Amino acid sequence: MASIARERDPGSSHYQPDPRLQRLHRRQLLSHLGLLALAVTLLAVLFVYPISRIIYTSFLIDGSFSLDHYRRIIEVDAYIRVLRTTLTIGFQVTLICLLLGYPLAYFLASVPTRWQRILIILVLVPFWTSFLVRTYAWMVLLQRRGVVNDWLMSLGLTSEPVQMMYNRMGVLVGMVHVMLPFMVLPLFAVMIGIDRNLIRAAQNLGASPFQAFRRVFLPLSLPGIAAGSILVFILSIGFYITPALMGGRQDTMIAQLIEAQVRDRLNWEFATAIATFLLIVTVIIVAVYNRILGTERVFGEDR
Amino acid sequence: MFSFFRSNGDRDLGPSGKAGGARLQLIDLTKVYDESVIAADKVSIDIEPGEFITLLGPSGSGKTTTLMMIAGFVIPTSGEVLVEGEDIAFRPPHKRNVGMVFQNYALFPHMTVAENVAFPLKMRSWSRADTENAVNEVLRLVRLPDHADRYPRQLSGGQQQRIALARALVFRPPVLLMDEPLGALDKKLREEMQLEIKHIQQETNITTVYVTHDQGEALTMSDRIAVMQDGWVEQLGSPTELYERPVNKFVADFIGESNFISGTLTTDEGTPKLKTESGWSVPLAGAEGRSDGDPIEVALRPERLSLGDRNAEVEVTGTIDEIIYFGETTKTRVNLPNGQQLVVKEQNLGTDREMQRGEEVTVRWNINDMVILRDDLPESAAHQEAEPEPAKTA
Repeated sequence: MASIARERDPGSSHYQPDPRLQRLHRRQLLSHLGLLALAVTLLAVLFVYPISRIIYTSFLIDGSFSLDHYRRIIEVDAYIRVLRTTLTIGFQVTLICLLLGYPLAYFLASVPTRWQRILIILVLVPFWTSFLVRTYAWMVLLQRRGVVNDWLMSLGLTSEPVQMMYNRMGVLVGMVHVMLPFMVLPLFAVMIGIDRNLIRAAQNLGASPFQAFRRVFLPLSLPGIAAGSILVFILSIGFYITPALMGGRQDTMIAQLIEAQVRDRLNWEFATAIATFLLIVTVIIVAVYNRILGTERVFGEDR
Repeated sequence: MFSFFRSNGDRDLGPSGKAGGARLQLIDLTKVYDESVIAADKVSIDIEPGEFITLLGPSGSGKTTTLMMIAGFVIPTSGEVLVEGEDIAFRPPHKRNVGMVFQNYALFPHMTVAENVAFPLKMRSWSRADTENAVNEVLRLVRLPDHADRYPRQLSGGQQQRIALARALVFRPPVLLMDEPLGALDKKLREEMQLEIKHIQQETNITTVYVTHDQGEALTMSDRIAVMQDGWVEQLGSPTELYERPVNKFVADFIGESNFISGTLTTDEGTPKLKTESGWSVPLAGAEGRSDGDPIEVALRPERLSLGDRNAEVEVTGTIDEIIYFGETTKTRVNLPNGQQLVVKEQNLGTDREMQRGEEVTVRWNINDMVILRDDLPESAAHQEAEPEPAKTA
């Protein structure tokens, strides 16, 4: 057998692309555009158009352009107070969810895989029940003559029923219950990706278990904290049912205000102005939050 | 050059003038899982200060379990880990002062190289100036002085490896542990890093326990190697001892390659011989202390066999079954008429005539090339049932 060594041709003639390759490329481009068109259409019809309509309507009074709605929101104390309540409740719910969710997610990420599946399903179970049903369930539990008060009194911990509903506590209990999975899941997703050898390495290098957690695990789980917190916060400030059913007068949230304008006053224009205002506030908060924590963290680009 | 390692006031300077590593003794170190799965069985190794010991074995042999018991991530069921005579077997990992390089480096991704390397010093509350000096010095030692401000992900695999090593050395631990540190690198880089690690180890004279399943790596780097199987140390010795004088079939097979011939010992006209079942008999040496009729097995390295026309003490004729070409060497499998198969490994010197499958050849070797293997001890037979060590968390 003779061996063959071919001389390399420095000319570029044989690098001419085959016309069939170009046809393939064109077909690929078309199919990509087709897929994209579907998504763009859906977004345009279901998102961009309605939002634009809302923003547009918010600048109208009886069909003519005006900023009066916004002036009213800013000048009337009640509206600003409701906004402040909304943001405070959003912040409180986020904080409680984080405090409850972080250890839970840590535990989930630490158990063997077969347990993980079962436990994750348990975390998701609340999603299977209508959250209206869940809110009513909490009302049964927390009302003056409810289950929890019965227990407290029969244990002698209190002689009078404790007010746990129609106040901030009712709102927080109900909302945290609904929001917890939105905190746990992003946290879990990030934590499961943290190499446990890093914790071992930290300990090997002289870090106590607490130091290893604080210096290595906690910073590495920050993207999860960021994602979970922003998700819970944004969902919370637009919340309606729980504060409406379980909150008191002073726990009125912005969504309730919008509902009242639409249903009782039939003032769609002012309702859209409040909605737009909430949207703007949300965007500003998210922007500031991203600036502090870094967008790449929220979207998980940074490891 | 690396004065930092020599100016270590905590330990005596050895005769070479270098800071000495510590003496590390593993005494009957045992780990039993679920009351029946033996992951490590009475592992006893006395490691000299500054010695490079490799735990070599297939997966599930207990080598990583043993290492983890030294590091403190696995608590032994019984036994002792003595560093300079002090038992650390039941201490939490962060109080052991033992450096470790992990399999996938385990560099902290959110810290720069300098922060990674400074981490153990921070945990020990070193002053800023001392920390800076130590970090710079150790980065010079691993030849990456200009990479302090990079993040681990910006480094190549080999560079990450060096940083992991630097981080494990910077706090001057008396003992360094390495868990398959080169497994993720490609072959060329791996060979380069083997020598580099070896040089740094000699430079710092740190007592090192190295875990690998790569026998080539073990032979290249180690002062001594402990070959492990099923949680048991089958043989402990220098690379030459292990290769030239393997005690049993497992070692002879795991380190390098071997032909095995088994039969019974017979004495024929005053010379001891191995007689196979098929009646073939081969002259032997070193069978003193055994008596006629004893079962006996020998290992014979393929490169000690020759197909050329040299003078040799043993000659046997057979037919070529297969020729496998490796570039620098060629392996030839020869079937002997008695059913025995021998693999011959020869250098390609460019002078050999080409051979064909089915051709008749004569295989030659000397009596001393045959190593008599120890009969399997009842003890090691008991270890056949041990199950693989639990998978390491990735």
